Amino acid sequence: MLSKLEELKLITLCVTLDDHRAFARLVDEYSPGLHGFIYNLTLGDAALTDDIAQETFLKAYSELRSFRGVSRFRTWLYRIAFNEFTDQMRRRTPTDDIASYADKIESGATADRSWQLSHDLAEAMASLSETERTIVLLFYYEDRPIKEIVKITGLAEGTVKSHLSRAKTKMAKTINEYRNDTE
Amino acid sequence: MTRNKFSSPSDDALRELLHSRLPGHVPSPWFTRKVLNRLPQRRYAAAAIIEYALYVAGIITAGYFSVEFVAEKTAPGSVVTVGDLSIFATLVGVTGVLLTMFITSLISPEETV
Repeated sequence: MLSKLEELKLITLCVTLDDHRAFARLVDEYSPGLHGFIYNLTLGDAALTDDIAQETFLKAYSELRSFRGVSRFRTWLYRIAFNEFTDQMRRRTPTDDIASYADKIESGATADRSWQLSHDLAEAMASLSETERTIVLLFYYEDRPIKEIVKITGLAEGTVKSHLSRAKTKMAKTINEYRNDTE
Repeated sequence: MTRNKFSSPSDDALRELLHSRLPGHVPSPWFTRKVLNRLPQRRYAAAAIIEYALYVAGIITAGYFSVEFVAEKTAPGSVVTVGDLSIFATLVGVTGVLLTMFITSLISPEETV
């Protein structure tokens, strides 16, 4: 993982010398995490994930001069990805291919866990609004603190917390199922 | 697994569920190359111009001293020692390295990625 100093050095190289090699290091560093996040945000749409991730890095490069370094580069990158995802969703019809997403969840799970739980989780994720899903993924899957989620989504802290609370209620059935399953 | 401040027991259950169940997605090995290919052309920013100017100045200086050195050592009556040869090899080496770096940066700036 890059230290903040290394990250700033690479960004400086990109801004001052247009150094594509330095930018490649940033892409290599952040693309795996970003792909995982977007993939679940798009409910397992690999092609859309790739498009959003590419656009995110291209926008990041062209707007690198506006990066002030107040927050981490990763936070700034995820903010761009979130905006790009919102833009893409506005242009597309929402997916209802829950079964395919459930299959992907199931394929990552251990054999003794039920297909039903995977399906319920896929349904629960799909039932969330785009903003709720973003916040749930950032908070539970990416383990980001609320303050960072505020920076990424541009929402007020109270709004993030209420989205999270609403999302939790929607997902409650799945959680209960999971508890029964693990107990 | 990191615990957030705004966590409760049900948060932990949900976090565990998402960590254990949600699929990851590995980018293709060509992803970085695809992004780099779509980046705008290198701009000749002031810093890049200074970089090239320094390469040129270095090549001219090292080249000049190499030629001077050869001219001096091949003059009638001069003696060539092992030390002279190592100095000459260093001068030629430095000129060659600078020339290679300069040409590489002009032709394909991101070739080594």
